Amino acid sequence: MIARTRQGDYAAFEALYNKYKGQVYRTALAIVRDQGAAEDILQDCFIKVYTHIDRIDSSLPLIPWLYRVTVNLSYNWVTRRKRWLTPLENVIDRLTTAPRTSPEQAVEEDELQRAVQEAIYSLNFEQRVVLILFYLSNFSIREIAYILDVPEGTVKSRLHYGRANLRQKLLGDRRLSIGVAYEWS
Amino acid sequence: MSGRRPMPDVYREDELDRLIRWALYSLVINARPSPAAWHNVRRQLPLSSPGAAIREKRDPSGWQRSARGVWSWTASALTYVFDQEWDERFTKQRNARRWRDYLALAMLSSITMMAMC
Repeated sequence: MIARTRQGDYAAFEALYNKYKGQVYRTALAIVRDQGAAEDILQDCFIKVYTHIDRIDSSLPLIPWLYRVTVNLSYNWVTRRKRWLTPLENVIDRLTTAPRTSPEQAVEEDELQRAVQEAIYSLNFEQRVVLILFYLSNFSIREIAYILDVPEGTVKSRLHYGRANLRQKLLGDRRLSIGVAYEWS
Repeated sequence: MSGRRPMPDVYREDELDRLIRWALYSLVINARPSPAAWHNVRRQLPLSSPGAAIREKRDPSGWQRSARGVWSWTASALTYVFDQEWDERFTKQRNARRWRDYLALAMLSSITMMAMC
């Protein structure tokens, strides 16, 4: 597909997009927690693929390169974002969350999910990205090190401290100390 | 299969792992980009092939080549004038050559800047 895209085959590029759009979009969404921003990152990522297609080594898997671009674009978005907007968006998010059909259970699940997601989101960017690549994308330490272009030891360290910080945040969260339950599926 | 469990013990490594995974999956599950995303990508791509798009950046366009041609011709003409006319007029003056050098340098700078555009 890369070779055909190099020759100007838009159908091949569209196939490439369709193959990887889900992974790129979900990773960006997990990092930035904003659907519009995740979609912008997805678009920018594939425009970069197209414009840099001559520099991509087709003998290597495309996935790590895509993830690297996604993480970099997400970092740009996070750092550009105005800090004062965050609390306001959280309020809007809470107000506009659609009501669930099973109230009690849904509330409990939502509370726990929200608490953990907020705890993950409150980690610094480096730790959050490592957690997402490790737990959501199921990459190994070595693969994450390659994607982020850092030593494996750094990835291990970020993973360790990320988990430790997350544990502390969860233990200090009142919502989790009132006996909420969550459902496995 | 589904069932309710008590609040997970986050001191346990495996429970914390499951909790993180569950929270992250629930954040992105069913999340899909809108069809408009592809159209936006498609709209922003250059009309030519990717290789050609890159070459376009490296190679000057038609108007750039024309502009360089005009400047090159102008520079040649002016240099000729300086050499032929100004040298004759200011041969006896001490600073003639210096002035010519300054002007030639200014012209070269202009041409270089235009070429870089």
